[in-house]
Amino acid sequence: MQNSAKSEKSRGVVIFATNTAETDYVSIAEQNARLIEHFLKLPTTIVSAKDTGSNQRFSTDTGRFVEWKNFGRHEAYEASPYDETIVLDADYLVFDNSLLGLFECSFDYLLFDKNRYVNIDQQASTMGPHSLPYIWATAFLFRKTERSRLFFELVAKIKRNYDYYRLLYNVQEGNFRNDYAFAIAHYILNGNSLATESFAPFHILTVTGAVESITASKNLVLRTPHKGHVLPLANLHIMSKSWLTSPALLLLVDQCLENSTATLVS
Amino acid sequence: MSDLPKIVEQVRLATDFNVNRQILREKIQTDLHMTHNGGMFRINPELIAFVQGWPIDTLYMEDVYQNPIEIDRQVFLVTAQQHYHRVMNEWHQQHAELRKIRKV
Repeated sequence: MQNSAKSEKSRGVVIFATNTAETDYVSIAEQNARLIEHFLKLPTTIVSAKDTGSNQRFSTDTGRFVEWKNFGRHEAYEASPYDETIVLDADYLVFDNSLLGLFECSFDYLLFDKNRYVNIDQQASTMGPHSLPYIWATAFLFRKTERSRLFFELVAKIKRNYDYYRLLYNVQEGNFRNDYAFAIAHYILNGNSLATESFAPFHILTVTGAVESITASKNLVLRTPHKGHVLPLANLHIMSKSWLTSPALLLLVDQCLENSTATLVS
Repeated sequence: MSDLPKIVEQVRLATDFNVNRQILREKIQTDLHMTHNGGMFRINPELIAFVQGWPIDTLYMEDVYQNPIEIDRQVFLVTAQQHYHRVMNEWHQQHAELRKIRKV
């Protein structure tokens, strides 16, 4: 007898994390996975990309350049065991379920083109004065479709030939960034248009620079060396790797899970 | 002895109500999004009033992705009203709490 029931699509989160000499990204991803399980009720797969490359990023914690292995985001399509996937950087911590609602929409892949800094003035939203608008590869969603496969293949091609594409699209910064490759691939795949229907309707919230403490209750209370901030309980991109790899992250996650449990009980 | 270190410490712990308020508002704008029949809508009073006043039970509305979505008027209206009420209530509560906080 033929089973005509529609099979349910698998859904989960993939976190890219590749350790470097300075930073234990996997430990950050493991804590984020606990938040994801709690807020999104989804399984998480932590991926250390094969094609990580070796680059340098400017550390806002130490004020110097440190090793950075973050090239392999184009492997997401092959690396994801799910039909529908949310891909996150390890440092994009999940504190709400807003990403889940996006799966109700029709898309092959969905990108974030908007970012909001908590603690500094807002930055330029293009990759150079005469370049494409910025896209954040910090978080994105995709379904395993032919169009998504093409998108990731194109990202890989741009990565392999980055010097050429950088000049072609007037990218100001010399460093390869997944963000840039995503923006260029998206533009090409949509016939040299921005195709805003592939953008999430809201933004990423980012804390840059050093962090002294973050505590969670109904809000997230953030202290930097210069200022305090009281933020709603919302997904937060935290740039400070020294804070993320300190025991403070474990405490924050524990605090978050305990608070939510206490709220449910009461 | 100078009070300067004390003043610096107070400034460091101070929190800017207007920045916090703006970030909270943006989070609420995110939360006001609601999906219906494969479309994504940002619920606001105009949308609720429009759906409420529409005389036919099935209509088509443009979602945030500029797609026409078939709407079951009754179902959409009830869901949107509940969603709007819940999120705005949350906003009101959090906003009131923020007003009280001047330092962290």
